[in-house]
Amino acid sequence: MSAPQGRKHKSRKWLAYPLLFAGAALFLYPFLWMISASLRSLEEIARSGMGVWPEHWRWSNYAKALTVMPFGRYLVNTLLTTVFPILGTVLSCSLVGYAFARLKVRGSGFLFVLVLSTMLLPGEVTMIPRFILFKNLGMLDSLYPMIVPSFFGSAFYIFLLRQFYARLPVGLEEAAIIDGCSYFKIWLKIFLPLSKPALMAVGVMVFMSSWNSFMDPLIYINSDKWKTLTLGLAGFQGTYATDTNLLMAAAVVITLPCIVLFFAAQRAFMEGLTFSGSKES
Amino acid sequence: MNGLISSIYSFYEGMGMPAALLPLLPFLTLIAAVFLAFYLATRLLVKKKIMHEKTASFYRFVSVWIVGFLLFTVGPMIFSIYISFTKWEVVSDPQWTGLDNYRTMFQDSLFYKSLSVTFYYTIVSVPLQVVLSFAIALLMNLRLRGIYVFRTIYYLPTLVQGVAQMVLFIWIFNPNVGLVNSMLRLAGVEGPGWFSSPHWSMPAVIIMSLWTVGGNMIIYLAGLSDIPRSLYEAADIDGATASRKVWHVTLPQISPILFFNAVTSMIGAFQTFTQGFMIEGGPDNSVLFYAYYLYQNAFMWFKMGYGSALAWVLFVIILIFTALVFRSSALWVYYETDQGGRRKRRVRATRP
Amino acid sequence: MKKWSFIAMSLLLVSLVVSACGSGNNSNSATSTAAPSSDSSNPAASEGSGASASLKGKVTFAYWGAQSEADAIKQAVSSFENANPNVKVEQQWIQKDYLTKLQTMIAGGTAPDVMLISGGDLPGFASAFQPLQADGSVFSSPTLVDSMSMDGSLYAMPFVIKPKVMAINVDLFEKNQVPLPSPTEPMTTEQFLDISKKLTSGEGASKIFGSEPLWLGNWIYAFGGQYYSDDLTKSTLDAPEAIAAAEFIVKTKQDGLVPNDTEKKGQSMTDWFLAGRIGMYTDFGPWNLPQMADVKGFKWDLVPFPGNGGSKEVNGLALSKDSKNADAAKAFITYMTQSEEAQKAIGGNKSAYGIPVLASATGAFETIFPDKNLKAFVLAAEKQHAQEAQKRTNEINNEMKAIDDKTPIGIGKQDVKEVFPQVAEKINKILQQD
Repeated sequence: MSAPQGRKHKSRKWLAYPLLFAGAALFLYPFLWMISASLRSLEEIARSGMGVWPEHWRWSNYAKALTVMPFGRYLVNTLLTTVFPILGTVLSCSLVGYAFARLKVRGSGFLFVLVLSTMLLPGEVTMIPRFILFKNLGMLDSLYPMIVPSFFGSAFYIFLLRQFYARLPVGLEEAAIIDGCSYFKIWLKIFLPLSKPALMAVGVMVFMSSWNSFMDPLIYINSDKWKTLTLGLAGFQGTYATDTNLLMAAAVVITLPCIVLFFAAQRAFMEGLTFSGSKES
Repeated sequence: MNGLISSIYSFYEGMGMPAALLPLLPFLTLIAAVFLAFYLATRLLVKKKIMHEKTASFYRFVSVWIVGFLLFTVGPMIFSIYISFTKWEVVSDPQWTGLDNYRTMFQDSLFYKSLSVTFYYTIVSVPLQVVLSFAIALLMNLRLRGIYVFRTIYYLPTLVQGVAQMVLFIWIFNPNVGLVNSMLRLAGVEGPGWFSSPHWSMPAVIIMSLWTVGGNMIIYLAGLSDIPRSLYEAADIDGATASRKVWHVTLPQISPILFFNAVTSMIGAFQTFTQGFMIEGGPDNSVLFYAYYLYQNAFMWFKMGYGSALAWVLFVIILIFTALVFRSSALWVYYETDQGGRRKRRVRATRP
Repeated sequence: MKKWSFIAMSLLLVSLVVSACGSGNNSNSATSTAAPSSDSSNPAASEGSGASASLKGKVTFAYWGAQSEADAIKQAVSSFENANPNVKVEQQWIQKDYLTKLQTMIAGGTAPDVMLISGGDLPGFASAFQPLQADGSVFSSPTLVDSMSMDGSLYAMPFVIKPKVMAINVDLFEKNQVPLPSPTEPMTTEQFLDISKKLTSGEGASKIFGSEPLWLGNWIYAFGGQYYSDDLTKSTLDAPEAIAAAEFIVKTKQDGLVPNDTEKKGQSMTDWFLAGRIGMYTDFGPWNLPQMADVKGFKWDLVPFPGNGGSKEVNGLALSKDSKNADAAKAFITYMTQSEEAQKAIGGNKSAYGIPVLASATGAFETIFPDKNLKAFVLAAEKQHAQEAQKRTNEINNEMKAIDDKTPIGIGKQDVKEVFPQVAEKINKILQQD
């Protein structure tokens, strides 16, 4: 949105800055609060009021929080339930999205509408039977219920990648078809590599939702040895509810990878988000 | 474990496969068999010239989704309807009870409470989120120095999600030493009990949901940058003020995104769970979100039948409201492709 | 034609799914093909704590507890592993929603071999346990075996007793010139109220309170009430004794003798007692003992719970009926409940969090703090009302939330005389379900 130059523009600018700063303070403060509480002693927290700068930087809070809950184990589990779904989603949704975008056959329109309609389904409807299904498959109290379904595609990402592939030039695969290449190879060698930016965006989105996923691990995991970080933190909140500093340290540690990922892959984040909101083209 | 599955399981166990891998193997075996069968069937059809190679490839690829759809969506949905007509405690067999669960629901005060809690949250939080994130997006769209820093700052809170976010805000809303009440104290106001008060715990949850509006802000920013300059230039020529430009150019252009966002936010709001779980429904069940009440019934008290019935009622409610919002979209959403375009009905008087 | 094959495939899959769901309820077939079901007449359960080189494999063990309890249990477990080097105990310390997690594991067929269970929750879980054999004479009281039995069978081996006593800040008593209570005779509830008033002083952030917010679960017994009728079929929350207890609790709040909801939010009352802000701490269980080392410079002691209130909790170790390693699991249970090493780890040294069930180890308990009246615990273990057992404790607890939500005991404003009968009625409905 461009604005005409001139006096009107300048006065709005000066109004904008205070608003921006006020908002930024409002949004940033809880963050700083969280970090500062994680570095303080309990009694310092009790008397600090609004202040954010810790008196002594108690890194020992982190050491304690990370040893009291078996953080290493939880981290490994969370990584497993994040990396594998990323892999599964990327591969399956790319394949299926490609099929919908480039292989126009009878029934594909109907099927695609079916895919889209599943986006309306609330998870609660299938939650209980899926629990029973995984129970019958012998997968309860393991990480598999969170990993296996991702290899079968997910409507939102199929839609996203389908849009991407549909926008690629029409004659892209013609030469390969004439050469007798199988459609699978066309996908693998041509379309998959071409979609790297979109795949990165998908990867980032799957990371965020898997890393923070709570209800699935809650239902499927009981043993400590398979707990994810979110479960661990929730348990931590239960036992150490009054040890705010340790709680905050744990919360910071769990949030840190998301923040790091954001700064490392900002563009992928933004692309993913714009796909979420864009109109159908 | 089902008989077929456990026999495959024992087979692999006998082979000495590592314990961590064992739960996966029976499933993997069966799925591989299914896909292999499908592949062979399509190959046969292609050979017999009944099916084109292209069609076969399409269905082979899409079968990945179809299998998942049947196994993890359709099958469970059908089963879920069935269980909703039974009483089932998992360790015993389901007993058919007909419409009992639904009848119980209509007399269950907690059912109504959880519905009203969820509605309260959705009706207040979703519009606030949409409006706020849009307003911030407008602000962020200005070509100011350092705007990128601000955009990042406003976006950062969305990175704190789920359990961590709730853990943080339980602390922030602590009535004694939490951030919010300390701030209010500076202004000379004695803050309420927030999560220990039945009237203030939901407002606390709503305020918490506003902290993460930065996520939607990015979506609107992208949409705003898509609006053709020519429209604004035309408005300038007509002598429009900034606010009129927003009202007559920006809003209509961005209304499809607003609409899409409102719908998805609403659907998401109906399914809120973590906030309810972390404070166990809140004081006097003031934060008893429907999804949490469902979880309580199904996974804490093992009333799977009743839980399934609750799930379907939620589904129907979501469908109804989505349909309502879709119908209302005719009033306020403007699509470029509409013949002549349907502008917003009300035209405000010119403001000086 | 292609549509036909597609339809055929989908039908195949749907039928697969439905059959998978349909026949999986009853048997945990994987376990039944892998391990022989254990026989309950195995004499190993009643032997002493023998180490056995023939025991091997893995035993999974689930338990709950505060940090101090977990530490003590871990000690006992490692002494077992030392005595039985071929057995590995995989511990699951479940810190939140223990009963729910247990139920889920049992329902999902992944129940641990050994489970810590409270006597009050035993009825709801007995169907998942194997009966055990025990020689009751090794325990300090015959009632211990009774509290872990149902219909004549023993479903969990008594492991630890957790009675309640009251801890007092002796310095505060002396400062306010209040005579110290008797170490053996419980004070009356009126005396408690009176003393609380005298100990309360100050304002705001430095206010000292007579006591911490009282818990109905303790005080209902002090007034001669109970949660359920003796046959456990009806809720007796509407009885006059229960209501008297509730009104007493409300009074302590209204008179400012205990911290109110805002003051106590997010705070640990134990920490407050340790810091000297609470005169009499009534929810004192043996698991608080290890923390008493952190007392900040004042004399403390233990006295019996006022009015002979409080309830004693007996915890036991139960054996899953689907255990794949029943021999090792039984030996583990025997060791933990009947060997001196294990019993002393949980109840006889500085890490103790409860009173041992083993008669020969009980003496060690009193020596942990020789100059403190630990005998109060031992007396409570004998005399206190035992916890009341029910099947659907999870659901019932949910109804009891109303006490906190609706009455001044918690954040509510309605009269306890109105709310308690309502809660009793709701609980009766739950009890009638079986």
